[in-house]
Amino acid sequence: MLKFRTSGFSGYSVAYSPFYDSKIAVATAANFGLVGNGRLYVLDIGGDGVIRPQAQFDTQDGLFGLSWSESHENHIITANGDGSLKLFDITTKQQFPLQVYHEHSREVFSVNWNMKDKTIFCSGSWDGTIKVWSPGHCSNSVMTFNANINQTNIGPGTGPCAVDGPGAAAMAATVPLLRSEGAGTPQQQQQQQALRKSAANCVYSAKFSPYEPTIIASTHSDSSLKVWDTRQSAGSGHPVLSIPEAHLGGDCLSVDWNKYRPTVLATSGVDKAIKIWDTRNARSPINDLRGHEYAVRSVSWSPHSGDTLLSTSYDMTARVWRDTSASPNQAPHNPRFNPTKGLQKVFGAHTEFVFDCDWSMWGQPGWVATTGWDEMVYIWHAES
Amino acid sequence: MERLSNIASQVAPSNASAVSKLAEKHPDDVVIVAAYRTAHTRGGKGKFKDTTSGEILAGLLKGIVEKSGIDPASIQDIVVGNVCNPGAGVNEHRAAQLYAGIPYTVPFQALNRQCSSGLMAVNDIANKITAGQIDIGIGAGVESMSQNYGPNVLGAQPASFLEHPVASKCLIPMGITSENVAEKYNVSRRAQDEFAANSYQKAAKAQDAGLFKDEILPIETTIVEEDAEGNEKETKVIVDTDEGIRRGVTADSLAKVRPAFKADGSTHAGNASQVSDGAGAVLLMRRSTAEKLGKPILAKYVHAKVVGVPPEIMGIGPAVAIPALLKDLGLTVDDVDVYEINEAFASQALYSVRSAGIDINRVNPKGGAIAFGHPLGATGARQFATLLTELKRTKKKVGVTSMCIGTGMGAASLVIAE
Repeated sequence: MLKFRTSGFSGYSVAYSPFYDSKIAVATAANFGLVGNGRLYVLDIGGDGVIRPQAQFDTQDGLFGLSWSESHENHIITANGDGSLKLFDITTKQQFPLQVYHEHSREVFSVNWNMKDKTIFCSGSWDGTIKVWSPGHCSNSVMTFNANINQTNIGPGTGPCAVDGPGAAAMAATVPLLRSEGAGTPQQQQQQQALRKSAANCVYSAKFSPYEPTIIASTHSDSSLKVWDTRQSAGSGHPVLSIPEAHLGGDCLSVDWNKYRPTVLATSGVDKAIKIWDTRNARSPINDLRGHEYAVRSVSWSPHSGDTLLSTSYDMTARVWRDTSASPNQAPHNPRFNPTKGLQKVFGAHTEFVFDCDWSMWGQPGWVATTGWDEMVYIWHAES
Repeated sequence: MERLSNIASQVAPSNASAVSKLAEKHPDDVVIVAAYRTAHTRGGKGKFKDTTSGEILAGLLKGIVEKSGIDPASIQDIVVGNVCNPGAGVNEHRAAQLYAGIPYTVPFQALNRQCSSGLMAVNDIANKITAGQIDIGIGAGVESMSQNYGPNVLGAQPASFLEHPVASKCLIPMGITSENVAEKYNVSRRAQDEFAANSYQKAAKAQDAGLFKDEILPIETTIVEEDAEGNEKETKVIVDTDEGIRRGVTADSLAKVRPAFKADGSTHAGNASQVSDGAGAVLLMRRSTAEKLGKPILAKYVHAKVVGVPPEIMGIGPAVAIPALLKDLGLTVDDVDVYEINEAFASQALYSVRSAGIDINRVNPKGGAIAFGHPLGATGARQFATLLTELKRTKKKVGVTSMCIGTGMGAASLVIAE
């Protein structure tokens, strides 16, 4: 086990570089992310087993998410508490980001680079929207999915790059409503109330499918898991799939696509459960994994095995699980005999909420990184 | 500070209701895919009077396989409850399975826990699914009281048992246990008659509205009648309507009926369950199996509980079993939308409802055994057909079935409709 202390900053997100076998990035926030600055750490894992900071970038507000660029080995995009996304080059000596994207009106909690179409990434925010960005192309978003409003879920991005489409007028109509707080006609007030109420539908996590570059899965504070298709949803204004009570009414905190089964997703939630879904039939989960004692903050499928997952929780542990839903003759689960089906390993070194985890694609399979509110980054082996 | 309250709310204990926790879908859940029954016919006089229990069962098994569209060879166990046949019908009902077109590769089990036999069959299949022994099974119950109900059903007891103060009470006739309940718990004759009249009225209304059509599978059979010259003549008939439901029954009209078991008693033919013939069958699967096969899921089978009570007041079974069931699940009586409580006798059914604190308006909304009969082994399975169609029709969620059991027991089960 290797470790690194992000002194004064609580870890919110951690990711291995897709280009360098020795680099990981950590998004952190001061004061547990409740108020204050953020810092992006770029860490280098030395051959001697020592983790050394290679670069760090300070931000005005806390950092809640990050994603390495899939097209440029030195670029990292961060999700910021002030509603912005900041693109950093880890080789520059200056503290400033290359680019700032500021359209979200509340905390951005998730950012994810598309692994197939490497020119775009998506962001998910507490303002209830998911935005798609094409950084090489334009500094404005190219598409917005709105999880707040049932009638008009979608619009193009704003600004000169915005694509005209059926949702354009709807978006133009909704944006001022979201921002205006003044009194209007009773009808307007009603609409505003409805918007404010539904604006609580935070996006906690939004991730592109590793198979289909147009597909995004998102998880929400209304407990739902939604799947959007940038081709279809643009016309319909609706997600192509929505599972309303994915986690029993509590926040659905994270989602990850299985790397081997294109239609399989894992979600985690405040109900302490990890659930495995198949988008071809989402009436009920194809598996559920229980054992965490508090909300499960993140879940991540192994890049080396289609049935192995890693999760992190407010119970201060990270856990490794085996999902048997793909085995044709799996023994059925009896919760009375085996309450923690599939649990392979409990990692207990963290001393505070564990917020995020990532699997290394490099070297011997099974190495993972975790980070949390105890200001620690641990690198450990999930299968030993 | 919204970020703080957001985190705080995620660490706080879940505020999901007990019902929604139980209703949560897991791939390993036991679910009900189909539940049907035959019409209940009058014992000794009705359309099933010349039909054996095996033939009634074969008709219903064939029907449930056809209706649900499953491959009969994919069924992995069939359990059938029965009370009156020797050995609970272990031979003739295995034959009935084969006659119904379910191949010999599918095993069969006969079971008898008196009036709960149908429920025990369903529960046995559910347990086998939970334990991972099977994925698909049918729990059923059948009774031909016309052909098999009689004094020899009780079996012999040695003299030592008859002298034993408690064991001997297993021989008390059911009617007397009803009188005992009425006396001990002060259930008046008038209250029993009102309860019974209400059962008739509800059943008549439900029948007129066609509400039983969705739960009854029509069965073709033969009746034997003597013509004017005294020659026996066989006639083919379709059995699709409950025969016991009388019109215009009121508490006043029942007040005229003489007590059947004790001269000064309160239990009589009009406020006790009818002697009838019929069957019920429930097709259960593991949820993941039902999803794979694309079968509609009617309900999640959540839990069942069986308790023991004194044999001489066996009718109080539901009064003990229902609270025990709900306690296991952390529910209250008001969490349940519809109760199917078997009306063996108005005395015990009414006492059980009162004792458990159940809203009488949630009990047997389509009437019960007083109105359309209680083919002993069938009732426990029949109740699922009656309950699930009612939950679906009224868009309600939580249902309980329960019954008292001769020799002193009570059983109850809980399902959540989807």
